[in-house]
Amino acid sequence: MGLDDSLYLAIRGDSNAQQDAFSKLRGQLLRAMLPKLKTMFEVNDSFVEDVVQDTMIVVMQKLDTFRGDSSFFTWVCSIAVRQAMAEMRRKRWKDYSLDALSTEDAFEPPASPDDFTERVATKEILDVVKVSISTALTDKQRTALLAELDGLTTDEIARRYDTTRGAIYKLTHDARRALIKDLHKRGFELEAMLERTT
Amino acid sequence: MKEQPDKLAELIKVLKNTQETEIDCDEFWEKAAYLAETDLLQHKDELRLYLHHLELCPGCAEEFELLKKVIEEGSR
Repeated sequence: MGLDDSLYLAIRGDSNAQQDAFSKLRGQLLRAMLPKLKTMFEVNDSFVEDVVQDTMIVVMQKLDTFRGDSSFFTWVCSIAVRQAMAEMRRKRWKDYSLDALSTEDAFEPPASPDDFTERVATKEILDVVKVSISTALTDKQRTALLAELDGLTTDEIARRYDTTRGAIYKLTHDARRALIKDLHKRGFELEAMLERTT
Repeated sequence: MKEQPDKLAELIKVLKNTQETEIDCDEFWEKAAYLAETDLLQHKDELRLYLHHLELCPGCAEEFELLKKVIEEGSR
């Protein structure tokens, strides 16, 4: 485990050792990834082989960032799973456009509960949330938040904005805090809102 | 697309679970390999920011679950 990991040392070694280590790592990664990706996501062998190949390139680029606080293989896997998921998400959301997002269309009218008072309360909450999203957030915060509500993940939003997923997370974190503050200012408490909407 | 109007309830739940200080996805993945080899429940206080991130970030949660399964497969 760590920086004395034999596979890691071999990859950092001379070119012969490096080639052998890469070949071993590629095989090990393929054996670990193939059954899981195939059963969980129904992808084919060639998809997994491409992911493993792309992972090898990223591993070489990021080799100096391995700190040794896990086994080298686990660190490589942490790159591979992100490569795989990013590719699957890119395909899954290819027809989804951030341009089409609007607060007005983001939420359908709530299903009508039998109780009239309850119906009015839910409608009131929906209206105030929409106003808060429209007025308390920047355009970029609003778009990222609505996209997340539709199921887009931070990496997929980041890809479209050509930024890091960390930057998108910070953006939506700021958006959430701004919404909380605005709703509070309007006299709405989250606990009570949650009780009425679930 | 998710079922409506669950999105409203989902948003309020996320707002309620929002904290002043949170780690972002890049910070999470700097430590993810270590976390995948660690018993998270035994270190839940020390790792609370990372566990909280998994609660709020479905993308990272999905990838982290896959990571644990892949390393389990790789260790067979």
